[in-house]
Amino acid sequence: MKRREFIKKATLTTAGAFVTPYILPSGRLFAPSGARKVNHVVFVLFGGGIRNQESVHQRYLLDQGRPAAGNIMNNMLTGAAPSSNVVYNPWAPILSNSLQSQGVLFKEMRYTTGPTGHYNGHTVAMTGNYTATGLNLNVNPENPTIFEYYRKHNSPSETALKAWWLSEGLGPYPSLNYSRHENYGAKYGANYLCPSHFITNTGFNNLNNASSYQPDDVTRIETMKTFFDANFDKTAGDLPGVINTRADKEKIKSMLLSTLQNISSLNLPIPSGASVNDLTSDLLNIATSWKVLETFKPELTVINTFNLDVCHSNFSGYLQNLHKADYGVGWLWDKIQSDPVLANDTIMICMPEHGRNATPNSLVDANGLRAYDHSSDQNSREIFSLIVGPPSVVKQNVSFGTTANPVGESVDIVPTIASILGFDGSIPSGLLPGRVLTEAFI
Amino acid sequence: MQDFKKQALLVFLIGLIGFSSCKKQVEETIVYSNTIYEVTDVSIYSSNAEKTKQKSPELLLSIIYSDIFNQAIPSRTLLEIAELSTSNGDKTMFTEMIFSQFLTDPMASVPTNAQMRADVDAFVLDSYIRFYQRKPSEYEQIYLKNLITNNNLITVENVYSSFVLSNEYYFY
Repeated sequence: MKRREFIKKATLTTAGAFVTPYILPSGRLFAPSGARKVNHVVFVLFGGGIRNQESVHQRYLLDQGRPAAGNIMNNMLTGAAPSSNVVYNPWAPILSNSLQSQGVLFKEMRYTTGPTGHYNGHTVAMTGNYTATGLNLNVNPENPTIFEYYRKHNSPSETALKAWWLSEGLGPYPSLNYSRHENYGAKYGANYLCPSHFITNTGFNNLNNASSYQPDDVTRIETMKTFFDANFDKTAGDLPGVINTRADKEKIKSMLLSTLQNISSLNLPIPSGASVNDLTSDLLNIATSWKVLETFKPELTVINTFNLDVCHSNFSGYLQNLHKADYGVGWLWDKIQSDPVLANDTIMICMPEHGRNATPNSLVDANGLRAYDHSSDQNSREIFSLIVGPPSVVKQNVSFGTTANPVGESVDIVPTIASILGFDGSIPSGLLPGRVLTEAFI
Repeated sequence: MQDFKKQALLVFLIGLIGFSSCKKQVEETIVYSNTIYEVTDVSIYSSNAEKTKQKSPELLLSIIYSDIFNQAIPSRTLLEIAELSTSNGDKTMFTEMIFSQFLTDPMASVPTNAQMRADVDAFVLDSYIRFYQRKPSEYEQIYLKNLITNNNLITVENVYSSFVLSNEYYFY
């Protein structure tokens, strides 16, 4: 080896030793630039349109003119279950201590402006900006999503494997994994999955023999692809969709195909004694979300529930699905606490996308109960939020807000998540009108 | 273009053979041959510079199907696959998954590795026409042929995957 070459290599080696990444116990390389509260956030958009009356006020059937109050969300909230007029199939809680007792309940939050539509509500919660658009247009939102803030401003930057959006249904919701914002977009987007349309017979029938590429295959394919691309002057980078690295693609493919091809391996959030017929698409979404969490340990996961939107015509079904979704959330938290990486290093935030009207519509269900829409009245702007996490980080068994003095808005969740993961200070000013819900933290 | 006329004629002759055996089969085969003729006659490119528009995700899926099965994708299959694609955030990843599924289908029109290696020149030419609707340049023909010839581990699936994942395949 020539002297000059030796010196060059020796210098590089020495420099490399100084910048060699320090692997933290959480599996992260380097410490992030901002102070993190924990390394994982799970945001449950507890959606479909939930009235505070049947959730945090625990009025059960009182607004239907029946003398029956009680708590039907016995995993998330503290309170006794209804003892009479039980129109839903009660499941024993999976958590011995409610999530309310393990965190902070913002009992009266507000969805201040804009139409109280599902897509609006989801967009507001995930972008931190109110929107006046009332249509369920299948286009990406105008303002950056929490995923894009995370992937662009978190230091060190992470691949899309660490950011996931799982929705109960399709419609416009696949568009929420990144925005149309000129400074953000698909390259900062999250992975997206809709289990109720993928973990299905159709999925199995169309992908039962599909496979991931082996590393050697990848090398050969990439060699030829590189040659082909060098002979063509356009790139297909504008194809809609998040962009994963080659290694991440294979990991995700492997997870998806093994789940599809061995469906019985999926843990289901239903109590013993319940059957698969009790599984709702909300619960399937939660089950798959756990698969993603367990496999990839993402730092930012957003999931939703939606089934209780049957409230437009079936109030009893609304109560049943609210009860099941509550079980699913409790089950998910239980699973998170059983994972060596996620336990005590995860904050979960639950918030409905909006409420429902104070006055029922004209429809009556089989139990004689009146149905409710959500058409932007004041009641449909009343929501709650629950923030749970390690006692060293999140206050325990505390609540804020009253009907007369609400605390927090739906646009506050994005800056709060950014603060939890320590990148709020890097987000350019003017993009987020909300505030960090500092009351929740030690 | 001569090769395509020959190919179309061959398909047409196959259609005539079918004509003598079963009326129902005749009708299907004639439509098939016309389709093939039309596609090759209209869609052939003299160079990839003519490709300026990007395929939509649905169009891409349907073209992948027809390139592998030599027939139009049934509408039900397209609907199912499009829904599965919508359910996934990474569209190119889904394309890879569905493509690998297509290749394992017994109905897929895919040569074996032995057939590929028996006549690499013909295989390269056929692959360019199948996936790019154009002939390879002399340089492309020689480069890919050498690559396949010099590496016994390259499979038909590897080559086809490379075409389908390349930028040119996304354009028309």
